[in-house]
Amino acid sequence: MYDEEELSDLRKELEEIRQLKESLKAEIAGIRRDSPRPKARPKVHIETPIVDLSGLTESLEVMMEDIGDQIQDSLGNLHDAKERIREKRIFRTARRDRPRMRDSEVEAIPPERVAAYIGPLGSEERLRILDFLKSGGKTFNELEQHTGRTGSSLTHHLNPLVNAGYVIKGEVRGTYYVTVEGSLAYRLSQWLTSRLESEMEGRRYRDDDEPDDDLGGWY
Amino acid sequence: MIEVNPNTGVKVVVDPIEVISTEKVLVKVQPGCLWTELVQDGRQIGAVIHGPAEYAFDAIAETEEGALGKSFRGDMGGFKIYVGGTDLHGSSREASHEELLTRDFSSSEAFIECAGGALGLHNMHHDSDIKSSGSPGEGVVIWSDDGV
Repeated sequence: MYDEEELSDLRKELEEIRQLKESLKAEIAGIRRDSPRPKARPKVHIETPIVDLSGLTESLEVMMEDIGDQIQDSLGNLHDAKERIREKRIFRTARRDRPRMRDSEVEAIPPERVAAYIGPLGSEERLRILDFLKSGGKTFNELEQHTGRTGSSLTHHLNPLVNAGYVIKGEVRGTYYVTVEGSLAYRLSQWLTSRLESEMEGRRYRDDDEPDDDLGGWY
Repeated sequence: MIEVNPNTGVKVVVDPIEVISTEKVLVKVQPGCLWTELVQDGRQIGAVIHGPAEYAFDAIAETEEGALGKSFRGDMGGFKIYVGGTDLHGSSREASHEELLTRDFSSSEAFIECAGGALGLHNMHHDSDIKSSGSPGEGVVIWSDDGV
């Protein structure tokens, strides 16, 4: 709870904000009065994409929790294994107790931390490998056939995924599996792609409809 | 009655052989390993093996959202008790005195005595009841990392 002094400070700040808002309003009204009316242009209805980052991070959290639930459901069939790998259940119960990261905390993540997670995904070949492994474990030979890369050329792409924990190698048959983290990383990459494509498409659409100033409004 | 069979002698592995080879587990015995038959009521149910061997074990569970778990790989020194069908005979021959000495056994009898001791240390006594898998490559290996 706040004490009296903090409340007083908050009230002062609110009052300053209110005054600032009023002065901005007055300023905008003055500018409108002084400016000549713009020529009437044909109205073009543009759907402005709303990029609400707080909403995005919120929905990501929800999505990750849903994934956790699905994994728990899948593990429900593995009665014995479920007991043995209980500590790996990092999903709903653990996550609920942990406070969610604030937007400011997310935005404070430095580039090197982002690179540690995003870097290993940084090529079409690696994303192709993750996509292929979604359908189940694959041998090195199967990966070679799928990607068209062989030997060290494939290893060059496979190792960063293994080192990042996105892919795990079964030592018995040399089978490669995409991990829960790898699956999530790939899914988030697809989601990011979808959002950026949508945003950029919207921007192109708006740019196409904006009049070119050099043409003086003739378009 | 479970025991090592003193009459069958001691063999030495000459070609690497996978005594267990399933989708999730692999146990490979290397050339130079010594072994003798493990019998139950006069019938071979496995082998007591001594020498270099490797294991790999995939404790990996696949789920719809990705794989969980870990894969393990390591060496198995000392005595290993294998219970199950085996093709060990096809990859082995009688061990020579020099080969026994290489593994610090003075004679076949000394090896068989130590092999019997290893059974006891793993609580496999004469009155133990063990059901072995019929197929080669699908048995179990009892081993401890202290080399017993």
